[in-house]
Amino acid sequence: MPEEQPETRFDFTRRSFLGQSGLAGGIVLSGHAADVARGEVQQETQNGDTGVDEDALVQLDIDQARLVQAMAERVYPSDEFGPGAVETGVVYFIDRQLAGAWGKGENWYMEPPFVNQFEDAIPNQGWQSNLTPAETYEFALEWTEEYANNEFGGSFLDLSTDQQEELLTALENDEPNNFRSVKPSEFFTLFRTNVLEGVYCDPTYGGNRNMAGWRMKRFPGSPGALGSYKELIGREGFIRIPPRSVEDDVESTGIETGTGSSESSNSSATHSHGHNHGPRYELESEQDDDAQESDAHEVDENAEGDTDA
Amino acid sequence: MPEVLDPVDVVCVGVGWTGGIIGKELAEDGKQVVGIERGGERGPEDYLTMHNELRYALRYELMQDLSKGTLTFRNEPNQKALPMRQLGSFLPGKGVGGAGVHWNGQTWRFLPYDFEIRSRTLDRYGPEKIPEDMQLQDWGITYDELRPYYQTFEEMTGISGAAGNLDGNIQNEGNPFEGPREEYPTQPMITSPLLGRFMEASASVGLHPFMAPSANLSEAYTNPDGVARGPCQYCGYCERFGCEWGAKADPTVTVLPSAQETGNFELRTQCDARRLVYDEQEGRVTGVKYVDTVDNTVYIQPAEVVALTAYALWNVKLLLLSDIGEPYDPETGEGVVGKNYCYQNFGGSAAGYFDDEEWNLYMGAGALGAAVDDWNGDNFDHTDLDFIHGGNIAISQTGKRPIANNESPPNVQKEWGSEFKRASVKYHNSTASISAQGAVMPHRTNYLDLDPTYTDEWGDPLLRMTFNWTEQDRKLAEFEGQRCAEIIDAMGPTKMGVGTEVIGEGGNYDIRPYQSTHNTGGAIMGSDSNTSVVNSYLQCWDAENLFVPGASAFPHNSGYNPTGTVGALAYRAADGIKQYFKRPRMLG
Repeated sequence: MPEEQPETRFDFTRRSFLGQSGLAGGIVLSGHAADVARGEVQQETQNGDTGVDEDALVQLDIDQARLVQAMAERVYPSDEFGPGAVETGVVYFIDRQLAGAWGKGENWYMEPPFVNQFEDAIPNQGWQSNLTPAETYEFALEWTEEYANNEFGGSFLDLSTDQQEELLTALENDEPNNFRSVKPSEFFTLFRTNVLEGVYCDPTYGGNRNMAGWRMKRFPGSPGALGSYKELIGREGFIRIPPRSVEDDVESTGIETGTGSSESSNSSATHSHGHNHGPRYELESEQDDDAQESDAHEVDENAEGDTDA
Repeated sequence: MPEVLDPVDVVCVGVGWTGGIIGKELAEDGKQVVGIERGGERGPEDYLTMHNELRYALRYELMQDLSKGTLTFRNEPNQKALPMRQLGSFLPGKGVGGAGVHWNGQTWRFLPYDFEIRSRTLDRYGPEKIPEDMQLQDWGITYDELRPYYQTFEEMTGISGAAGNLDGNIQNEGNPFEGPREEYPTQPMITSPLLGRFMEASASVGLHPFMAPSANLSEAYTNPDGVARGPCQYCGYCERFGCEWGAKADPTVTVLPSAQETGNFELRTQCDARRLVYDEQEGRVTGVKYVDTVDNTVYIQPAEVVALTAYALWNVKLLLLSDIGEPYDPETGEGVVGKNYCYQNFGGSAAGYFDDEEWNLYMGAGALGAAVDDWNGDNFDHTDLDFIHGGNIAISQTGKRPIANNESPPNVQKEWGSEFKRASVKYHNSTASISAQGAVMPHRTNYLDLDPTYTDEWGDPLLRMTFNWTEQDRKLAEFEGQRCAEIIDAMGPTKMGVGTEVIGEGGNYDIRPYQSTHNTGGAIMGSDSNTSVVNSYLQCWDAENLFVPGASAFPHNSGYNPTGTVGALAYRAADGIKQYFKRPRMLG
């Protein structure tokens, strides 16, 4: 340890830039799509049905979206344990991701030559298709429906729950032989990942509607801009904190740094959610070193619904 | 024709930890230094609303854009290498500060054993302990020689921890297996209940747990350069994120402000280095050719000294493109550039699932962890084992992100559907996962060269990585997984899962799942120009005014995160460059 404290010449301890604004990026959702994403427009159907609001779609057509929603519901079902892919808005999340930079594969290396990855590549070498994620969905959804018709005699949407699971398992195990360019298992892996992203992402991306995914995992989302758990990290017992999205941080700081590497920027969020900009958490009792705190602290200033299992 | 600029004293190619350290040290020494950086500027003010897993951790906001260039990969020399088209196994950074911005801050010193690994293995176990294809080499430097540079790096970054070997005196709180050292600049991080549980369990099975050293400050700290930073807030957004508090040491809140204040350091962003200009006759580099991607102009920046300070992999690529040094040939074992590419083996792991516990796993810090070193290095007897070295076994509480973490106990068969959903939600805050950070030894057919087919945005060949796990790695993972299981078992879980196999489909290295951004080797250091690229000052044997620090210099990779050693070697290189300016020559 240095004997004397050196003179401070560069100060990174205070956030003098809090007053600044207009950094990079912004939140893109607006209008009807934003209302749907925020759960402010109720879908026509709930609880695992495959109703999709066509007006809220950007990239997928309504048939593709219904298929995505039905498949997503099998990957992350709605059940007595909590909401599933439908309630959390996964289809809208996937739709916007496909429409954005990620869907176009903008940060992927997509230079030729491409190999036939069924013969000339090993799985450990990763993605070798010339298809972007958006193109992959375009084709693979069609191939999935084709397979459903061939093997099960109907659209995926019309199959029983067991048959739908059977079909997804077949994809996972590379059983369909009508896929070209990507393997069924590669599409399934991509899809499964996207579904989990949609359930648990920041709600600004259209998924995790009402932060229902976070509530299930008792995850607080953002600790807040310049948020802190320093006083809590050493404590015994689970501390439940109501979830907070990045949009709340944007509003509380007046700073937009954007949420979308995969979105373009054109407007900031205009909705006021009436958020409390006070402390991120408030404990029922102050820390007592020898207190037995095996029960969860519940900090429930604005939680909606009980997510405890 | 390239535009030739006025000469400067030093050019750093890449401005992350190594470029920042050398830039600062030489600028303070009165030298004119230019830092060439292909990315843009960034700093803590960019991260105020970064608590966003999708954008930063999964869409790779701070990582390299592969559309501009990547590498190709194969397991074995007889396979066709194919491009890594999307990020997965490792995550090189982009922009000022490099991967030093989105790192976790886990900052270790390698063991004294590491630097003399060949000699010590021969001494203790005899020549039969080293398989024929394991190109094990001493580093050409000892721990004692590197120790002051470790200390300088730790004081600059303000590492938090407890010494375990204070100048030879073993301390209870720290790591008793480490080399002799000084006190850490700041006290250890706060021990969270989960970490406490790990430490109790480890001690109960006879191990020696301690709080892991951290570059996330445990307390406010002003470093010897006068850089003041505040303490970590345990916000849980660290790994793959930038720190809005400046509490995590990164180059943009430590060495770079110091360098720029001298007035001698010029940072040129959006500038992509394409070649070192090499005069083979003279055994010197005369400068750096780069493209300013804003004005689309090709420049040559002449310099007295060039420091190749890019990411480890790209250091090797630039050496090969510039025809500096003999490329390594896996058939003959001749040549040096590209040799001894190594990685990190996380195959040994264990997870406990607790029905009656729930921890605040959403809180955390990148380097908030506890560890045991009993099964690392040569800290245990390998006489009856068919591998050498080992791994640091640690539990980390980095902030459990909900998209990426969906563990379920081994009895849950599928990775999707209702049962998976229930289990992954139920155990989200009730899982304790530990792993061994397995060391990786060099192997004859694990190496880097240039790809014959694929090119980057400039039309230059991509780097080609040929890498697979070896028997050494498989045995090590099996052993370390069992050790991990013993610790987790002592924590008393309801259910347990154990990993004893190397990561990857078919037991082969796999470029898809994230493992670590610990790519090492390819421009290794040593005391013999026939078997290494640089000497102990990171000075290139084939170009005496070229210094190549970074993890590319590691002759093997140890059982720890590499950044502490990368930082120490950068200070060593800076020292070498200062000596070289006084009297230009091969140092040593």
